[in-house]
Amino acid sequence: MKKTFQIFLFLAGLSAITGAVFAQEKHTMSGYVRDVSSGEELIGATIYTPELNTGTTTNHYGFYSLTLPAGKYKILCQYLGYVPVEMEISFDKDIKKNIEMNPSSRNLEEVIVSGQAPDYQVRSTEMGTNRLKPQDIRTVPVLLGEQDILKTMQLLPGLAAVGEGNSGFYVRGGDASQNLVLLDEAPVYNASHLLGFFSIFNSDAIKDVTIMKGFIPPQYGGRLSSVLDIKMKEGNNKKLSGAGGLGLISSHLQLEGPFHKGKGSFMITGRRTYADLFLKVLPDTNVNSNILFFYDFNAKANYRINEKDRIYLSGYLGRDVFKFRKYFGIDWGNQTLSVRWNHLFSGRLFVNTSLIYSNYNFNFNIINEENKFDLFSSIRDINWKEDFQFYSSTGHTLRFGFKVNYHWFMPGEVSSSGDFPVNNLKMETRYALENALYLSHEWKVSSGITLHYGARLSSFSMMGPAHIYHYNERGEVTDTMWYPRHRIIKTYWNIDPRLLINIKTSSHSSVKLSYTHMHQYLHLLSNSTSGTPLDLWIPSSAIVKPQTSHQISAGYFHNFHENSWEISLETYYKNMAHQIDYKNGADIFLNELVESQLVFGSGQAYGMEWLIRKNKGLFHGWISYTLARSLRNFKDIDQGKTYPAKQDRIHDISLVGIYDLNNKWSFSATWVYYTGNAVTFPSGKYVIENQYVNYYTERNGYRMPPYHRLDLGVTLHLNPEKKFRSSLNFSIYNVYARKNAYSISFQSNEDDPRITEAVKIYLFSIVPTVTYNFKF
Amino acid sequence: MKRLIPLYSVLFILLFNACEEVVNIPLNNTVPGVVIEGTVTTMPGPYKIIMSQTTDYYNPGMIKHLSGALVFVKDSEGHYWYFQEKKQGLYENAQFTGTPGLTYHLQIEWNHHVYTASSIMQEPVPIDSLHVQFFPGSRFADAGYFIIIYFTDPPGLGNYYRIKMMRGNKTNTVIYVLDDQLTDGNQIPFYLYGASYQPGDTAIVELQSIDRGVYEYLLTLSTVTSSSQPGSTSTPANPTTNLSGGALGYFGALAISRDTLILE
Repeated sequence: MKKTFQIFLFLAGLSAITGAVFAQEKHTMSGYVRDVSSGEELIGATIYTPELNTGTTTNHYGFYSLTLPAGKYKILCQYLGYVPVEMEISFDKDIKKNIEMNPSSRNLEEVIVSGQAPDYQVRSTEMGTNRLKPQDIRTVPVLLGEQDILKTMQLLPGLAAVGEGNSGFYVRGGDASQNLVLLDEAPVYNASHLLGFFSIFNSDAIKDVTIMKGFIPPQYGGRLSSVLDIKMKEGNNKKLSGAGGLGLISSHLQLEGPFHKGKGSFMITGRRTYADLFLKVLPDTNVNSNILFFYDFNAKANYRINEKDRIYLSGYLGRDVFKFRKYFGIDWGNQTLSVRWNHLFSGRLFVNTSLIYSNYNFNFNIINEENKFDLFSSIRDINWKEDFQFYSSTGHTLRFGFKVNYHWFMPGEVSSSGDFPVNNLKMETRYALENALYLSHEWKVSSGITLHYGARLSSFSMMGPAHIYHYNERGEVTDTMWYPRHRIIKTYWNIDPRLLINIKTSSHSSVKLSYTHMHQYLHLLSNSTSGTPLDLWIPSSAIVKPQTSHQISAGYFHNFHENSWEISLETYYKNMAHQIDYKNGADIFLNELVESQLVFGSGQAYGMEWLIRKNKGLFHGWISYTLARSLRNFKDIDQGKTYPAKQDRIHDISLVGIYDLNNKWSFSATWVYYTGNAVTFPSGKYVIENQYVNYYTERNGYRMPPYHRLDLGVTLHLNPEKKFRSSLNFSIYNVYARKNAYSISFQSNEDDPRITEAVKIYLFSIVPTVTYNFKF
Repeated sequence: MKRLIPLYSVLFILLFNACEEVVNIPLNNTVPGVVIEGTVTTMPGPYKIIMSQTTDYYNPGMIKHLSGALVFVKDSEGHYWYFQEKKQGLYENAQFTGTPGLTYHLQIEWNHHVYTASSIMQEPVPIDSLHVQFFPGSRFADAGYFIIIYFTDPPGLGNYYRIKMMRGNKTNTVIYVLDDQLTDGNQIPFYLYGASYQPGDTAIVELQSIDRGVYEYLLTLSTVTSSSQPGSTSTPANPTTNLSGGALGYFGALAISRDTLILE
């Protein structure tokens, strides 16, 4: 640990020296890259000078800074889906230059998938990273007409769907709670609606989605498996425009536009489902009086105070509501709010200050005439972040910053009145402070080698007021300690080194190697696989140690046919410690002694991921294939034998094809295949109380049947040349009506209880949908 | 609180018309394991201890019972009772009645293996009353009457219950267990959903006070019996037994209150 830190300090020092030694007369060109029609900043655009074979890319806010020796250069700005911009720039003084790019028209012979520079995957110091934009996936067929960027993400290698129709995902053998989901930098604790069938991310509001599953830069931390970084649109600062859609189960509307002469812009979107309206037509009064819906509301505004300062305000509010007749109701949802301030100290130093609030809560209540029962649980976060980017000289970018994060965990509060025989109960709120300090250096060592390395120093303190329980081996309380307010109960300090090396093997190919070390201080306890609102997050404590992982990966990236084809092959090995599972029959719900219900173990995951992608042409799409294993080892499970984790997917294949016949018609198809999840099935049975009981002999010793499905979609653009554009999308989910198993249960035959049998539940056979979308 | 979870699965069926289908899933064969089931109660005996074996999952034949075991029960005051094999695998004793406050120890020797368990006999908790309520029926259950049992939990945490229902002499297979974590010291109405009665039926309801070990066994058993509801996505496992020696099943000392209701 100490040694890594020393090496890190040494390298950081070295970078500063190299900056000084090669000091000569240099000038900086900096500014923003924007879409000409909407004014939206473009993330990941390349600004490049072919003469020196050097360049930079825009950051999350669309800002770039390029420092070159004095002279005159040709500067090329590229972004997929946009017409490249070429300029002659004299570097005789520091210059501010905002670059506006024109989207390449649909009428062009070549349709180009948007996002990043054409050779980004070869050149970038990113690895195990995929990026999607909502407009790229508009025509991909979807379940019930709901465009869902998380479901489309699952078609990329290394990401596995949690289950049928589910927006939850596993990354490289980790579980769903090991993904850090950020919406405009605010952590989102439960990213799904309706048991996971939909994600909370309304495509209308989203500008850019990036998933990092291999090399994770030091500015991110706190989860083991991945970072899903979602950016909301800034809003069009040129003109008022909008979009919307009508679907079978939901409708959505978006509006964006400028204010204060384009110095500011705003964006608001709303979405609501109305599945429950269909229940009303059913004659059964038990069903038609139920209420079931969810909604999302996103809003964002930004304002340019001057060329150096810009502020952003963005928020999200979403909720699921379910009322079962007059008996009971459940509702749950997230709220996030981020306030950010970009400031340019100079053309070379960019700083972002963020204040972030995030809240997830869950309510269950029973209300009849005089009686009331209420259950409430929540997790809340307040965050302060400072992120600096310093473009120290040509080929050097330093990023550093810190984060202070205060967490509240309210595991449950029960209140009742009237005749309910339930006593009021308030589980103790837990408090924790999570801090981090990071430094990273991106360094173009030579024309062929680029390094991105750094480290993240983090601390996590659980704080009073709290009663802390000590347990014996059987999980019985031996001792209780009381800690007053602000008293630190337990603190962890950790340093996570990160390293990536990009070696260009030719002008169109590169080899990348990376090492990533991660710590996770928050742990999700949930009795089910994903998507239940009863999720319970707990902080690290003396008993529950932070989860850790080490991941090494290597990859080969190659572009050919003028960057219209991309192939990549990545392989990884990941070792995880302090993983959490439950004791048999664990009671984690409203249990003060929840820590006594847990068991701890380790895990390993390894695999290979292939991706072949065609980005240009009337026909585009990709093929992805993942071959992977994910294993677990717990002293208290199966006598310490290694067993496959439930997310152990050996094969996972996705094919996505989109064909744009002309500017009116486009066709799309996706096909997915994956190995069934590892599951525990009974190997035998016995009799207790005159009924059969399943007899289990090994954890996850069986497999669900393989999952596969074909979806087709057709999109008709009704008036592609007009200002008011609209389209009709017809999709068919599960075209060949495969009855993919959602679950398999083992039970007695209803007619003859002596016969025991396996019963499969499947959710969807063939599901056709039509959706109408418009834009103005 | 456990009841929240099945209610939640209702949501799910409402939304998506999930379909069921019997499928052929190949399962491994197993080495037979020993199963022990026995109780001592506050009601007069004879008390029964049953010894049997596990079998392969798809085996439609009878379960094999185990003969020739030496079966004893001992209480914490030092009394010993020998259980005699009445028929294959069924061991009985009618010489004693369980006393609240005593701990009962089971010891079995069979085929050079020793299996032991102990359970504390609780004080019986009386049933205050039984009520019926009519349920008009829905997609998920037929119309009929179901029973509500009222009883008063004694003050102090750590009371565990199992409620057993019989129609005539037929026992309902649903396992109802509850603790007093949220309801300590209150009068509890417990709705016995899952068993509907028609006019003319005789309903016998047993309220069993049990110790923590038996409660944990029954709670974990209820998730893996053949009549348990599908839809639970947690990893299934063998119930947490109070037997040592590697056997499946349990041994329980049960303090029983019983009440009968005739539906008119």
